[in-house]
Amino acid sequence: MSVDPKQSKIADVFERCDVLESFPFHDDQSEIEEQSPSIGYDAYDKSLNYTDRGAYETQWSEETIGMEKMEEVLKQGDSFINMVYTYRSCSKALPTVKTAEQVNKTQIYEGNFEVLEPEIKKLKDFMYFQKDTIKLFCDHIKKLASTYDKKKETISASESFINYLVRILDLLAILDALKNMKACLNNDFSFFKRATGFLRKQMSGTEDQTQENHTLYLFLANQNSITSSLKLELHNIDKFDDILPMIVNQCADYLEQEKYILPSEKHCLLRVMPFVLFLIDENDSKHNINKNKNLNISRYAKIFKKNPVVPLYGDMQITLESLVKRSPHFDEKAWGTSTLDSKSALDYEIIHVLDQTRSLYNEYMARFANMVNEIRAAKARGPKEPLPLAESDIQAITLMGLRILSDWTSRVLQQSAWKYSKPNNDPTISATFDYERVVKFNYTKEERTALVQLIAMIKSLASLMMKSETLLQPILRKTIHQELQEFVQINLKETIKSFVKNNPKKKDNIKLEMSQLKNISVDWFSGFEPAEAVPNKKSKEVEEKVQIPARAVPPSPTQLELILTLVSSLMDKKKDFSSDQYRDFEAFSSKAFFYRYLLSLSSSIISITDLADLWYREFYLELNNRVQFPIETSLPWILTDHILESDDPSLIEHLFYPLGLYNDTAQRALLSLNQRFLYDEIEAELNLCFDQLLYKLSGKVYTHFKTQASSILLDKPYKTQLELAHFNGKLHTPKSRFDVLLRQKHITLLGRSIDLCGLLAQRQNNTIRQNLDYAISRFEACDLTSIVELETQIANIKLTHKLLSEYFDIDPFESIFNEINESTSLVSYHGRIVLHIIFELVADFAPNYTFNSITQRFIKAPYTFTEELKRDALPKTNPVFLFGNKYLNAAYANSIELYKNFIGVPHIQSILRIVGKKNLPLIVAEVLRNIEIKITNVLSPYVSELLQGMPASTKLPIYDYGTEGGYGYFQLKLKDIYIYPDLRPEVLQTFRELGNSLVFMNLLDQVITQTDSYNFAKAAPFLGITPETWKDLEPSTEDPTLQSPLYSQLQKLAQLLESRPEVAKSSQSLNDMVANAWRADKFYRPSEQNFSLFKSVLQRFSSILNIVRHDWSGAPPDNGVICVDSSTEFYRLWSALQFVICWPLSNENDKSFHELFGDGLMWAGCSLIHFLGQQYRFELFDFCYHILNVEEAAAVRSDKPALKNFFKNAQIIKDINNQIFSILNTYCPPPPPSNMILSPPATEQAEQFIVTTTVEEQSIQQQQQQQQQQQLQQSTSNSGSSLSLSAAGAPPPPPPPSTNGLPPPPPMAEYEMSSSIDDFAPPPPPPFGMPPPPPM
Amino acid sequence: MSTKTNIQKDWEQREFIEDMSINIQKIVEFLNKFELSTRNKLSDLNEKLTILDRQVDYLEATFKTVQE
Repeated sequence: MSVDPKQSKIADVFERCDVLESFPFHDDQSEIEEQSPSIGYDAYDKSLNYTDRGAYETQWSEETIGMEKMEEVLKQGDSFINMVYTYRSCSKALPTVKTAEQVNKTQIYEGNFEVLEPEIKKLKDFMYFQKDTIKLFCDHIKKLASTYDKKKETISASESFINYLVRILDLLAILDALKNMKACLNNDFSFFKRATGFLRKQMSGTEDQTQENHTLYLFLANQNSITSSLKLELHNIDKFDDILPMIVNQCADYLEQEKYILPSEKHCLLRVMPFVLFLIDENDSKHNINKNKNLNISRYAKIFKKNPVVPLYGDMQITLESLVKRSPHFDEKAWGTSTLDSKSALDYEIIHVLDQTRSLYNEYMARFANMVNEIRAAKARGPKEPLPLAESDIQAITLMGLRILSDWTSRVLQQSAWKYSKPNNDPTISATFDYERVVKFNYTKEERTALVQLIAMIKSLASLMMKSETLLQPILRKTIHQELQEFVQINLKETIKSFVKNNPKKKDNIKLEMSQLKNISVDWFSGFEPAEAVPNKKSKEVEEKVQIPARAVPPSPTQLELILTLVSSLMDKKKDFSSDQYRDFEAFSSKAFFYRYLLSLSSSIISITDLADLWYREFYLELNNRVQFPIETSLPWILTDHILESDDPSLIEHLFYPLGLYNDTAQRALLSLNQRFLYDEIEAELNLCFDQLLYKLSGKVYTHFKTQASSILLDKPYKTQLELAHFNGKLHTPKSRFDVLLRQKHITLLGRSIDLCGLLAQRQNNTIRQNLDYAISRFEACDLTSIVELETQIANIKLTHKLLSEYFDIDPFESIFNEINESTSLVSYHGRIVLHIIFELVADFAPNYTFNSITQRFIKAPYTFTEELKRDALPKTNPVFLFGNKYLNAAYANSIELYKNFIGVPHIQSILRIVGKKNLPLIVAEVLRNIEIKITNVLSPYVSELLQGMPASTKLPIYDYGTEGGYGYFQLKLKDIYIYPDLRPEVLQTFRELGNSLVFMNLLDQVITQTDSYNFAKAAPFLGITPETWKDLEPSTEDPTLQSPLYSQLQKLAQLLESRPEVAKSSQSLNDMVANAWRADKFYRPSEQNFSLFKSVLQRFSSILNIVRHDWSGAPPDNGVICVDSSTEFYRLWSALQFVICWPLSNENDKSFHELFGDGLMWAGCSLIHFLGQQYRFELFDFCYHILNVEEAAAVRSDKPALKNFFKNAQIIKDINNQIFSILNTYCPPPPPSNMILSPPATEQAEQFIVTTTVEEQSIQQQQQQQQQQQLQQSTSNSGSSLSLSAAGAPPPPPPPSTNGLPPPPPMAEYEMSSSIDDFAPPPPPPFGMPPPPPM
Repeated sequence: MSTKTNIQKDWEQREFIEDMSINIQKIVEFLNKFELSTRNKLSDLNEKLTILDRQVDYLEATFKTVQE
């Protein structure tokens, strides 16, 4: 048998299409929005409009002609509904003629006429359309009336035909309501009439137009004119009151049996019932709806009671009771009392049925998904594998899904109508317009949540079903074909046989109809009707099994319509059939009714789940006389904003379901309403909403991760205590479900694809930058104490960045930080932070803080001698940018408050961590430069002046004067310095600055040492340094890096892999790794020379002093050895200043010098003395020390309060000085002292020296004699006189040359260097022994 | 009857049309899925390009300071 090439190719094509289903797709995004396919395809074409009716011979074929015309009328009517609903007034924008004498009124009228004429033409067309439609409807009623059978009292009309009549009536009802609502129609027409009235004088032949305008005027001005016209025409028809009840009853049947799928179908049935009742009723006894035997008022009342409010169109709704009340014969007893609001609310408001809705959703989702999975599994096993489910079950499950979607969507639309009918009239709410009362203020938070969840359920279920359409369609079509053929070839055939047998000569019409039904729908196996065996009386009848061809071919729309009509017609003759036969008809009819929805699953689902009415508000725009409302009153945005502002994390995944309403809205605007301006408005609003959404969502996301970072970084025991005391659970990371939302990369809105993840990443980049800028700006607006807060904030932002990086691809934190810190330069090491640190160190820290050696802290001085410092303004408080929320801000504020009132080691540690070693040279250099400037520009002139102002002689007084005498001596001598006006603001202030700077360097050095030790401890294992091997380390020529585990192991690995090239594929990378390991070892290995920052600073300080060393070293001593009486060296001046510092206060309210300037003063003075090489001379000749020594040697201690205060101050300062000198000697020995003879001179110089020494010795002897003389005078006057005469008379002989030269002083001992201040053991202070007095 | 009725012929001819229709629908479904998948990949690619662009901007600003 040869193979048909054509069929072979088709089969190949079909096979390739099947392969497409198994194509792998990589899309890691969950679906959180409704499905918006780019390409739509509707296989079941309904637009043929019964053109193929000629192929089917039935008595109802002619009826399809009328149905076709009504279909056209309905389409045209839809366009008029859209036109009237979306009509916007033109007259508002047109100029008006204000005075009769206006010059350009002719031009205005002509312009108005040109603009308004097309609009008025639309209205005229509308008027003619409604007139024609009423005539068409009445003609059909007349035709039906003509089929009235007097004997049987029945009227022949198919169910489908009555359905069309129902739709026509609904069309007329809606048109009338819309016309009533639009007041602007009358306004525009008045404008037009005024213009034409003026222009009519210049025109001729307008009589017909005038008449037409008058008719249009009456049509527009009268309320309910369409209904009145229709009613008038209907009452002229005989028997109309027998036909209209058929319409009402069919509506009631459909509602009770739920024979509808689309929500609009249900609402149409509800709207038409009271409309028809109103049409029937009239003010005479003949047309009383209560007495019409065909009407069942109690039945209708039950239906109306259950559905009191029904959506009409867009944002309009009607109350069924108000419609019925318009009837003249309205009887309250028959209809019952008004429904209570609370009872109806239970049915209308979604929140009351949400729980059971969710249960149904979960149950049905599982059932549907299970069905789909089983079908896929069976299909994968084999194309001909039988399905695990019965095919009828598949159809039933799918139909159930459609019904569920329909019910839910109806609930949403009905709730909307309910809210429109019951505005929130609370007087406390200030609403600008009525729309706010029915939308914005009419939904509580719980109701918004419920509405969001229901919309999400509707759209997600719809998406699931639409995605399965390709899988389900062949099965559904096959099932429909199977059911149809089973009914026709089995049930109907048996019924025909029975009728032929039982009624051979009667009921031909029934037999004819059944024969027609069979003929138009049967599909015989092998193409021909099987020959029926003639029953033989003798032979046994063998029952044949009916075979039905398996086709996935549904009946055509016309075919299906006629089948339903015929079955319905047969069912009307119920008494002619047996109960079994009727049941078969009924079962098939109820199933076949829904075939049209199953055959076009996608379009059915799209129609069912259309929620565009939630946005349209033309009625309220007209009512409030506005062009458009702000987005705050738009329900999609209200729901979206509710999700963003809600604390419920589960709602965040529904974020794009409310925005999806704009898709429905835009679809309707373009394809149904055909209005471009509406689409533009929708697009503009959506753009606004999306910008707001991005802004709020990015802020919400950042706040969440910021809060999470703050919670993680907060000290755990501290957090536990705080939560127990104050914040119960407020400090924990808040719950959220951002995972699904933050992975979305193709959200579809109005047909455009949006990368949400990318947009949010952009905003997170900016937000992190803003947060860093905020933190740095706060630091720049505060003093140096806020460095700890800055470090905390930067660590927080860094962790926030890390958490965000798991969801977004954002810039590296280093790049962001460098950008905001303005430290991206490669050639300079700057930054906002480091510059502000330098500024604070130089301008505020050094001048205004006092150092305490005991606590090692700097605190703000109680009084400052500098002007108020001008800093940047503090940025506006932003709780999110601090630590996420107010609770965490409070917790962190308490923690940071501990560091607010001082500057110490913690702050310096923060500086080191923030700035790093990279910018330390800048800080150190700037501080040292400041020191240099202060010394050269401020101190040098003042020291010169003060040295000049020093008393001529500052020789230490002898002990005989006593403590009081010595103290008074110095007070008298130094009074001028004490009252020097610039002493405190300039001299001591500058000394304090020097001291504070040096102390800062000392603390910085300690912190650096700690950090280096910490890093060393971490790196030691990689460097091969262990406690066992550390002591054995000897300096050797071999590079220690070669022995380190890091380098040696990697090198071995590289060598091993090089010997096996088949294993290693990137030898270059291995070489790079080895080189990097070498560099890392070099970097982390501690240097043999123990580096000390403070030592370097002191050396630098010493070199700075070279500028003033010559001046501050004083003049050469007169005696060639040392100045005793008067000195121009710096240490003598510092002794004077030190005495002034210890000077007791005359007023108790004053601050002491120590309180004002702190220990920085001593540091400055001691450092200068130390590096000028004057420490020992200072300690020997210091004024305060002398007083202390005298007091120590005195037999009776002084008991005066002033002296006691002086002693206390002097002792404290002496202790501090000793400590400072010890530290300085530890770090950096002083330079060799000047003005001292270090070695014996040569012979020639020795002789010169002998002469000088002789003069000096004579001077010394004279001093000694004077002292002895003074002492003798105190005891006896006679002895003193005798000694004096004796000394003057006999001079001593000159000493021999060999013993005249003084031995040189011993060389300064080398102090051992220590690696750390912690290892330093300060030497014990020298005892306070009294130098022995010279012998008498 | 020796010939098929028109209704019968119509059933048989429509079967072919339905098969074609189903396969067209499969192609449409494939194209829609392909579009979503492609958009996802394009978003990833765009993200990488954006990152590189920002890095280039940063480095350019850095090198500019050297020239100054």
